[in-house]
Amino acid sequence: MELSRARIDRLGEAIKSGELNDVDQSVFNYLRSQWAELGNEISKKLILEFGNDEFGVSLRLKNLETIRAKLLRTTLRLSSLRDVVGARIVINEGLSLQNDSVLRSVALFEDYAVKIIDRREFPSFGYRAVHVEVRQGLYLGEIQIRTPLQHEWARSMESLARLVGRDVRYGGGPVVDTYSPVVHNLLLNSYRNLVELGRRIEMSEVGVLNDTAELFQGLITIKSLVIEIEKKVR
Amino acid sequence: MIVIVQFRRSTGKLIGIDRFCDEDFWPSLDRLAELDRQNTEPQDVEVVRLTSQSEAMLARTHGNYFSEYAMSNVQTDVVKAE
Repeated sequence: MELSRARIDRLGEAIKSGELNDVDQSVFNYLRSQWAELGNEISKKLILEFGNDEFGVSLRLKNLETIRAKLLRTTLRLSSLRDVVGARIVINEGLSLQNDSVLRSVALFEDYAVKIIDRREFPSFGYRAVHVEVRQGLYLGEIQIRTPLQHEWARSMESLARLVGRDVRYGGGPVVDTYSPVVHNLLLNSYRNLVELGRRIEMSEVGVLNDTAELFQGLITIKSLVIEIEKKVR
Repeated sequence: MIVIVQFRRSTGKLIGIDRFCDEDFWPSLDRLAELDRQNTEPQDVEVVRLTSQSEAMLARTHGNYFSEYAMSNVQTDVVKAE
């Protein structure tokens, strides 16, 4: 099947509208197989380069609904979504190893068009990491490179978002109106604590603060609290 | 290995998991498409295809799908990464 950027973007419009006809569905299946093949290439290279105890490496392929949600949430077109194919590297140390890993990733994909998006310099609603965009022709992939603290913060925010709404990850406020006053306050405080922990992680990673253990504990406390609340309210 | 998880966001728990070896690239994509088609609650149930060296590695990078709590309803072969 021959695809063009325009055809992919037309498919994106159909996905947004929620009305995929049979032709759209087969184009989507083909496109997903192309994304998966790119993902396979990215994954193989990363595992060869980074697959040891210092690094956790994996690859995720978004499904139709998460693609649709992203298209509706943003002004991006389908051809420019870079995290449909999302690799993740979690390193076991701080900024220095992260910087080194970014350079190694870029070198690894020298045959591709590569772009670095530094979300430490430009955080996305508190989310910090370095992303490397990898393009091969029409198809885009992304490698997220995170330090342990950046990763735990992102995981805590994901956990909390299950209870207070996914929009908190994209700049929306927490939705806690349906909970009892006690749970309402716990969730609101957890959200504020998490935002504050994000600021402290940044200072800690550049060496202004030296409180890594305390930060991890703060993040673990929030995740544990989320699980306890989920057990009670679900 | 390749893993497809079905994750219910509202409970934070997996409701299904399919495991494939690396050679099952195409069958895993067929299964992903099938699960996507069958998903009647797409806003609550995420269907995600993940690839890594092991499930323990996936627990490290995508812990929200592979925590003890998230996996409490499904059979697990996970060896804890931490």
